[in-house]
Amino acid sequence: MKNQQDIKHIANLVNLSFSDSEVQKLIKDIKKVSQYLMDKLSCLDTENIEPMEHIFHTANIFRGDYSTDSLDREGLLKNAPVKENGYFAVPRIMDEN
Amino acid sequence: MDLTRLTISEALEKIKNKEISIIELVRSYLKQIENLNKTIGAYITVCREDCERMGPILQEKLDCGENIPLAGIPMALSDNIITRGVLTTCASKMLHNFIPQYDSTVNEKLRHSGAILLGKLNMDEFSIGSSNENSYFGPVKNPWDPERVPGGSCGGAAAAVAANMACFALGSDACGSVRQPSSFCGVVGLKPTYGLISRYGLIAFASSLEQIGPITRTVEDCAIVLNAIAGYDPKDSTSANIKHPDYTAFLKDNIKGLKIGLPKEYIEKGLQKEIKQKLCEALTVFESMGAVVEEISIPMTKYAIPAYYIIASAEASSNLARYDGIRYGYRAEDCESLEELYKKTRSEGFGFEVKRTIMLGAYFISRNCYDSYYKKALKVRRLISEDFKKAFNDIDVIITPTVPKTAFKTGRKDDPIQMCMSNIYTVSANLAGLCAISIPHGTDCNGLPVGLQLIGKPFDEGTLIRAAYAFEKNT
Amino acid sequence: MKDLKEKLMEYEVVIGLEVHAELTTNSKIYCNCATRFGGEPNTRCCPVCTGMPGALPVLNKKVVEYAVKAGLATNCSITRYSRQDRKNYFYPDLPKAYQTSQQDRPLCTNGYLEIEVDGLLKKVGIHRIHIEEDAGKLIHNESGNNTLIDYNRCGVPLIEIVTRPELNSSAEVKVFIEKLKAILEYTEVSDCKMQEGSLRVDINLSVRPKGESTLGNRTEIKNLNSISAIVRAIEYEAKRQIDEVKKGRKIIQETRRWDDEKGVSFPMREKNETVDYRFFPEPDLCPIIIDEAWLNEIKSSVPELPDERKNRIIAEYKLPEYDANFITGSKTLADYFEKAACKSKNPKAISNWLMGDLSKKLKENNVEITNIPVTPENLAKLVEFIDSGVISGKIAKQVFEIMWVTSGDPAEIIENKGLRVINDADEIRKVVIKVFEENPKAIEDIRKGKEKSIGFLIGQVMRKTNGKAAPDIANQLIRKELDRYFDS
Repeated sequence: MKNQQDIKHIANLVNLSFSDSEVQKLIKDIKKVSQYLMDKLSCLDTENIEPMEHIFHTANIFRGDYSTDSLDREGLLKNAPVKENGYFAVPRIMDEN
Repeated sequence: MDLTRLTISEALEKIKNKEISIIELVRSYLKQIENLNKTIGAYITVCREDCERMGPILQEKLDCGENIPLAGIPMALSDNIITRGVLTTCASKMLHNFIPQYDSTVNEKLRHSGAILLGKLNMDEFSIGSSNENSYFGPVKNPWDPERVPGGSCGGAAAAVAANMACFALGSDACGSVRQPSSFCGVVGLKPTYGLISRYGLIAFASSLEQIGPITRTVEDCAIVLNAIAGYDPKDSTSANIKHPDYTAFLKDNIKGLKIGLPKEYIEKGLQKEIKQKLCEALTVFESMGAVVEEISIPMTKYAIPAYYIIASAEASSNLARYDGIRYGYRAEDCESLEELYKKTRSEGFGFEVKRTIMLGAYFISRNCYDSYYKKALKVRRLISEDFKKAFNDIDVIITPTVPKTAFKTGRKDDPIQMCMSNIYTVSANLAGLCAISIPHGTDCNGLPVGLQLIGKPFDEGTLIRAAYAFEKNT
Repeated sequence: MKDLKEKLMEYEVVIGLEVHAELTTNSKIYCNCATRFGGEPNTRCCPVCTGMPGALPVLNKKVVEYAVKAGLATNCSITRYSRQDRKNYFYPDLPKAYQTSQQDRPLCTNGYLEIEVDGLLKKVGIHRIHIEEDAGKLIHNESGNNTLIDYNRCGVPLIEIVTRPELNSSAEVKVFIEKLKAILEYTEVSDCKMQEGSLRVDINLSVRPKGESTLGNRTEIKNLNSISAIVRAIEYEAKRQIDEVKKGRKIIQETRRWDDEKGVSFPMREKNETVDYRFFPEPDLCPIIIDEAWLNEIKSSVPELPDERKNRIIAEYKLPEYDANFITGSKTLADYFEKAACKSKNPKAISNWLMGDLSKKLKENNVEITNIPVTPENLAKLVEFIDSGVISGKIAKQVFEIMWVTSGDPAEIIENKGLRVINDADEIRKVVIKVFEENPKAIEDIRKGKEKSIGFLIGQVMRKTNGKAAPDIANQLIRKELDRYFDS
C-alpha cells in the first residue's frame, strides 16, 4: 500500500472512506508498519514450517442437531436503527432488478 | 472503616459475620466511583439502580443460608464484555447506544456467583491501543499519576481496581491488555490459558489470541475470581473441555524446588534500569524461598510483535466488518444508497486507530499479501510456541518483567509500532496460548508501580498462583 | 462442401455447475435456530446467526455427516483434516460481513457422477463439495424507499457442489441435475425443492471452436429456479456467445441474471473493482478430523443409490428399464412403488399406474407422493381386483377416483357402490332380453348382416348394468339370444 490508489482499493474492500489528509497519514503509517514488519520477518526462513492456525490440538467440537427457541423478534430488532414491519431495512438496492 | 479497601476474601468474611451488609459495601463503592470517576474516567456506565436493587436481594438470600460464593462482591467489566440489558459500547461511537438482549458467559457466571455489577469500564476502542487514550468516551488516567496513562487496552479495569472503584474487574488480553495496565497501575492481572475462559460475549478483536482475565488487588482474589469464571462452555468452540482445579488450593506459601526460567532475550536491551533491578530482587526472593532459577532461551522473541501485529489486525479487520449500521449501533444519517450507508456509518462510527488497524489487517490478508504477511505470521507463531514448549520441558515457570518501562506520560499514542513495544514481554504468551500473570513489585524512582510477570504452561494457572502467592507473601 | 464448412466452424459449449443444496437438518449450521422454510420474518434468529457482537459459532455435527454422505454418494475422496474459513464481503443479507465457508480444505474432493444421454455414458467430474452457511433474504418492494431484510434463512446449512467444466449441452446438464437431485434425496441430505430455493444452480458457460483445448471467457448465470429454466438459459446463452464470437467480438467475463418470463439473460451490475474475499482460517471454529471409525459410520448410513436401486428393481420386479428409470428417478416414488409392488403379483401394472393416472394426479394437484390419500397397499389391492376380474379396467379408474378423494379401501368402495362385475348369467340374460325387447330395429339390422349392431347391443347391456356386466358373458349371451331369435 504505497499510494492513494492502493489505499482506496483496500478502503473499498472494508467500506471505509478517508479525507485527503487522512489518506496521507495512512500512507505514512502503513509504510512505516510494513517496513518494520518486512525488516523483522524477511530475514527469518520459514520455508518448511507449517502455519499454526489453531493453538491447541482440539478438533471436532460440535453441537447436536436440535432446535431451540430463537430470540423473540422484538429483542432481535431492539437495537436496529431502522426497522419496518418486523424487518431490518437498508436504503433500496436498485441493481437487483 | 473504608470498605472499598477490603479484598474479596476480607469482604466475604465481614459480610458472612454480619459486620457489614452487602448494601453498605456496594454503596461505598458507588460513592468512591462518584468521587473519582471524573478525574480517572474508569467507568463508561455505572449501574447504580441495579446495584441498589440487587444488594438487598442477595442479602436476603444469604441470610436464608443460601451458598453464594461471591455474594455481594462489587465488580466491574470491561465494556467489551456483553452484559444483558446494560449498555455495552466497546468504548466506540459505533456501539454508543447498544443494549444487548443476551449475555456473556462470564457475566452469567458472575451473576450466579452473586457478584454485583457496578458498571462497565472504559478501554481503548475495540481493544485497539495500549494506553487507553483511544476511547470515544475520553481517556482513562493512571490513579498513581493522572499525567500518565493507565496502560491499555483495559486501562479502565486496572485503574478502577487500583483506585478502589471496584473490588475486582474483568478485562481481555490479546497481547497484554490485562497484564500491562495491571503493571502500570500496581494490581494483579491474569491472562488465563487460551480456552480456559469462555469468550462467548466477548466482543471480538483478535479471536485466536484473546482471553478474558481477572484484575484484582491480591493473588488470593485472583484465584477466587478465576474459580468463578473458568470452565468449559459449549457455546464457545475454542473453550477447553477440561475440569479445572480449585485455584484457591494453590494459595500456599511454599515453592521449594520450583524451577524458574529467565529468558536471556528479555533482558537484553531497552529495559528500564529500575525494572532490571527489581527483577534481580525478585530472583533473590524466589531463590530464598527455595526456587531454582536458571537462564533459558526463547530465540524467536524478536519476531513476536511482528507476528502478533499481523495476526491481530487481520482478525480484527474481519471481526469489525459486522458494524454496518443495519442491526445495531451507530448508523449514519440521510444515506441514499447502500454503499453510502456502509461507508458513512463505518467512517463516522470508528476512530482513526481502529480504521487504520482494519486497513492494515485487510491488507495483510489481501490476495497478494496473504503469503508474505499472514501466512508468514502463522508460521512464526508456530516457531514461538515451539520455543516455549521446549523451554517448559525443563522449567515450571518463566519469569520476566511485565513491561520494559513503567507508565508513560499521556499524549504519545501516535506511533502504532512504538505503542506495541510496551507489550514486548507480554505478547508471546498470547501467541503460544500460555497463561501469564502480572503481580506488583514495588515502585520506581517516580513512585510508579513496577510489575513482575510469571508465565506458565497451558492450563497450569495453579502453579502461577502458587508462585505469585508465595512472592506476594514474602515481599 | 457447405456442410463441411459448417462443421469446421462448429462450436463446443463448455458448462460447469455450482450447485447449492440446503441440508435437511433440524437446526442451523452454527446455532440452534430452526431451519424450516418460511415463517414470520426474523423469528428464527438469535445473536449467533445475526452476527451480534460477541456471539460465537458452534458447528452442527449433522452438517458434516450430511456433506460427507453426499461426497460418498458422488464418489468423492473425503478430506480427513478439514477446516472452515472466512470469506469476507459486505452485503446486507450477510450479518457478520463474512460467510463462514471452506476454501483450502473442503470436506469432499474429486468425485464424479455417471450420466447417460442419448444412450451414451459419460463421467462428469465433481471438483469439490464444501459446507457453508446460507445468507438471509432481501425483499425489494416496488413501493417504499427501503430494501427489507429477513434473517430467517441466515445460517441454514448448505453444501456447495462444484463440478468440473465437463458438461457440453443443456441435455447433459438436465440429466446431471436430475441425477444429483435424486442422489441428494436418496441420501436424505437435501429435499432439493428448487421452487423454495433449497436447491440452487448457477451455471458457468463458455464456448470454443470444436477441438480447441483452452477454455473461452465464461459467463456465470444466476436466478435459475427450475430445470426447464436452466435448459432455456443454457440454450440462450450458448447461442448468444456463439453469435458474439462469430461476429468477432470477445466474450465479457461477467455474471448474468436469467429472466425466465422474458426468456433472456442480462448482465448484473457489478462494481468495477475486482473482488478480493480475503479468505483466512476461521479462528472461532476448530478443525474437523474424520477418522476411520466416523467415516465407516457415515458410510454405513449411505442408503442404496438410484443406479443400484434401478438395477435391483429391474431384477426383482421384472420391470422394463424404461419403467425402472422413471420410478427410481425419485426416491419417494420408488419407495411407493416398492411398498405397493411387494404386495402385488403384478408389479408392471403398479408401474403403469404410477407412470399414468397417479403421476397425472400428482401434477394436477401439485402434491408430493408422500402426501396422497391412496396408500400403496390400496393401489396393490386395486390392481389385484382388476387382475382377478372382480372389476373391469374401466371401473378401476372410477374406483381410483374415489380412493383419491376418500382414501378408502378399494374392496369397500367396490362393495358399497356395487361395482363388482356381474358374472351371473341368469342376471345378465334378463338384461339381454330386456335390451332385445327395446331394440327391435338393431336386431333387424343384424339380421340384414349389419354385424356392427352387435356392439351396440353389448353397449346397451353395459349401460343397463352400469358397466358391471362381465363383457365376455354379455357377448356370449347376446349371440346365443340372437341365434334363438333368428331360429324362431
